[in-house]
Parts: sequence; C-alpha cells; structure tokens
Amino acid sequence: MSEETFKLPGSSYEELCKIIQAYGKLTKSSSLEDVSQIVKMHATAISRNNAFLSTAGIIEGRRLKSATILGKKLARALDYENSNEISSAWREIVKTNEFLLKMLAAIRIRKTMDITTFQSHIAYSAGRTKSTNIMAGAKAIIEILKSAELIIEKDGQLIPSDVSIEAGERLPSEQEISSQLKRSQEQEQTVVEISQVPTDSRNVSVSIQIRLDIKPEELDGLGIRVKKLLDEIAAVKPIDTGIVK
Amino acid sequence: MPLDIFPTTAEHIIAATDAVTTREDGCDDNYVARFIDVPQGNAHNALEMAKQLGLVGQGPAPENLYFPQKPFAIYLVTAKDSQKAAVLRLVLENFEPYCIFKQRLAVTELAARAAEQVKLIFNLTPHRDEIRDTFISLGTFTQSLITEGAGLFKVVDYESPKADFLHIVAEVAADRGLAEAIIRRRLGDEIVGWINQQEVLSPLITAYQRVGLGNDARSCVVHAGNAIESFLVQLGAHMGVGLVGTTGINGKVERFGNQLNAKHKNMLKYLGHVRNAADHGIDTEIGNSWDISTESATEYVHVAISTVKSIVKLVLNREFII
Repeated sequence: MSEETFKLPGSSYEELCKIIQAYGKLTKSSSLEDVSQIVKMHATAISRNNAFLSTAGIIEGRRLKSATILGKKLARALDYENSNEISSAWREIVKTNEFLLKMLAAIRIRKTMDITTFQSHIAYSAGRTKSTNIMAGAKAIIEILKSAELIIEKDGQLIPSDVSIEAGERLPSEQEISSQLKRSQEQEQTVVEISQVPTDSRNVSVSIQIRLDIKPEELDGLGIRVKKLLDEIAAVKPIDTGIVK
Repeated sequence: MPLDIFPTTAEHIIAATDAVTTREDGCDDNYVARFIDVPQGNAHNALEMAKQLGLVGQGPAPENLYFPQKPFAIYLVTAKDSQKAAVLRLVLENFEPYCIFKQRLAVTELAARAAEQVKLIFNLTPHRDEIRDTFISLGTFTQSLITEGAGLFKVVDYESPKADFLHIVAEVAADRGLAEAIIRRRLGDEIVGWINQQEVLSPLITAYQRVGLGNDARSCVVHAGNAIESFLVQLGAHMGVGLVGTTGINGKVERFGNQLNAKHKNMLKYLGHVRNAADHGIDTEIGNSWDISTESATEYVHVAISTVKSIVKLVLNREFII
C-alpha cells in the first residue's frame, strides 16, 4: 500500500518565504531551533514546512538542514525582492517536481479554474482531507505557481500563463509573432539598402561600447552573462554586403 | 451495480484505468495505489468511480479484482493527451447522475445545489460537496463544464451529432484500428489466428500504440511483457508444459526445458530481463531502479512481436525464421 502523499506546505506562502530566507542566511547545516531564532517563528511552524521544502529541493539534510544551491538562489531573490529571479527560481523548482507539474497540467487542461476548486484539487491530489492547514498549504502551492508566473489570477479565476516552463520564456502571442515577422521583413529591407552602398566595408572596424546599468544583487553571474554576450558578438558572421566587384 | 459517486479527480480516474490495463489478469486497489503512487483510499475511490463510468469492471469476491472494460479503457490509455478528455467525456455524458447534475446545474446555477438534488434523486450516501467536487473535476477536465468564476459553472451545450468530442473519440478508435491492422499485417493471418486475441494480441497492439505516443517508455515494456507472458502460458498449454507456480517470463521460459531452442529461449530471456527492469522497482543487484529509454522501449515492442511470430512459425510449420 502506498501511504506516501505529497507533503504540502504547512503555512501561508508569506511564512514559507520567510522560512526559505532564514535557511538562506545559514552558513552551515542547522537545527530547527537555529532557524526558529533567525525567522522568529516557532519551531513547529517551521517543522510543518520542512517536508515540503525538502521534497521541492529547497533544503537538504536530515536533522540538521541547510539550503540547497537552488534554495539559496531563491532565498537571495526573496531578500532583494527581485521578482525576475524569484519567478525563475520557482520555475526551476516546479520543473523538477512531478506533483507541481501535475497541478500545473490540471489548470492547463481545464483552461480556467477558480481558486477554491483548485485548492480542493491540490488537497485531494496530495491525498489529504480538506482541513484549514491543508487548504492553507494548497493556497501556498497556488501562490508558488503564480510567483513562478506559470499561472495568472484574473477576476478570481486562475488561468495558465503563456510562460514556457522549460525555457522560462514567455511564449509569444500570435499578434507578437505577426509583428516580429513584420519587423524582420523590414530589417531584410534595410539589409538590401546597405547592400546598395558602393563601398568596400571589409576593412572597416567598428567600436562597440557597452554600458551596464545593474543593481548590486545582479552582480552574481554577471561575468558569465558578459562573456556570453561577447561570445555571441564574436560569433556573428560577417554581413554579406552583396557588393559586386 | 447501484449508482454511486466517489470523491476523486479526473486525473486519478485516468491513472487508475491505466494501471488496470497493465494487468489483464486483474488487480486490486493496492496494486493501483503503488502503480500511480497515491494512498490506497484514493486509488480505491478512483477505481470505483472508473467502474461507475464503465472504464473498469470487477470480478467476484473474495478477490474483487478490477479488470479493464474494453474498448473505452483501452481508448483512454492509448489516446494522445489531447484526446483523453474527449474519451472521458463520452463515458461521462453517458453516466446518468452526471446528466442529471448538468440539468440541475442549468436550472439552479449552483453546483452545490445541483449536487444536493442529485444526492436526493439517486439516494446517494456521499456528502453533496464530494459529489460536486468529483463532477466539477470531471466536467471541467472534459470541457463539459466551464468555470465562470466565484464558484459558478456553466454547462457547455453540445449538439450530439456535431459534437467535437465525438469526432475525437472516433479518431481514437480509428487510431486503434490502424495500429491493430499494422500488427496483424506484421504477424500475418496464420499467427494472428493462433495467438490469444485478448491476452496476447490486444496488449501487443496497446504496447505498439504507447510507443507511438512516446511519453511513457515503461508502459510500452509492461504491456508487451504482459503479452509475452500470456503467450508463454498459451504455448505451455499447447506443448503440454506445466507452468503452475512459475512467475514472470524468465521463470516460465526455464520450465520449457528442451522444448524451446536456445535462440528462442535467449530472445525470451531478453524480453524477461528488460521487463523485470521496467516493472520490479529496486534491483537488489545494483541497489537502484532502472529507467527505460524510449529507444529500448521501441526495440522491446518490436522484438516481442518478432519473437511471437518466430516461435509460432516454428510450432505450426517447422519454419526457422528469426
């Protein structure tokens, strides 16, 4: 018999985030009491959430626990209220969690669900009865999917967003695809105009200055991003000017 | 069978039906609970609701084993994800309490009130909220109901002969027919006429269809493996080999002794070992479970078909073709 059920969070989304932030501040694996002192919440309130946090890959360890790399990324994003990083981290968590993926699929296939129906669905799917705590945990799952920008709340209903879970990129709408196509056609026309310039451009050097306007919390990983940008520029093939000599 | 409603979701009903189709000889709710990884109570409710909808049947006491009800159980598990809702809707729209629920919802505009009325009309025991939640889950999954917000739901009108979901179900049936035609052609009339239709041919077709879906390599191996084990039972009866007390493909193959040649035995052993990897959880030799790749699943189903064909050709005509 399978008695294992998915462990829902035992608190609201806000409390859950505070606990994640507390784990993010730890420098070594710590006990519930240590976390309790940082977050200023009772140890039982933290304990109610630990099973979920472990299952979701946010914390690790047995009696003494610490944040995983992903957990630290999420905690830092929550500390700085960086909404892009918060949604990106939650998406990574959802992507690797079968239960959360199933909950997302439930909304996608139904196209729309109201909040209480979805809460019941989450509670039942987790194998739990609808108690106050369980429904709070189910609500936290909804908030996680919203924070991940995978679902949107509109007029009290939940609808799937157009954000792709794989790439974390928003899927373009038909209108956007159409305008992108139009822009690309215009660019093609521009290239044609350049090709008509009667000069030899092979020896022209172009100096590009890049000004980075960033916040302190965006410093992490900046080197990798800049290197990627430079690599992309270096990889651009020379423009075929179409000049006939 | 008395009409009843059980607290469950559309997703659990589909998963439970899928689990039942992997055991042609029947299974209990404990097997289904382990197969779909939910508590036994949830598995039981999903199975009982699937039974109400005509997707699974139940054998006699004391075992009370569940069996797949064809063709809709097979349609449901071999349909593409986009088609599953249509198959489920077809059986749902034929379930009288749901039809009355829709009628009452149209009149009262309140799902809880409609559920209460269904409870009274059919003298049902579950709480009205359980009836409402189950019907809302099924209705919204199948696009038979749409959410209007603030806990309100609207019945989607459909004109039966023109309903899209009926066309989709027809497509699913046609897909099954096409898959069956391919397997029949591959095996040939003589082989198809000899093998057991329900226990060998049908799971081979299901395995072939699951390969086409490309989303569950393990189930391809499970269905084809079931076909091979049933084939060995049939072959044992034909050759007078007693297989009582043997479990699995490898155990049965050993019982044949010299009545099977080494080439066929080793082909069957391959099928047995890969099936064990797919179906037996933790392998004590490696202390881990095996994942099944899409490529292996595809090869497995084709080898299963070729092995059946090769053995039957030898048995019937003394032809040695692998």
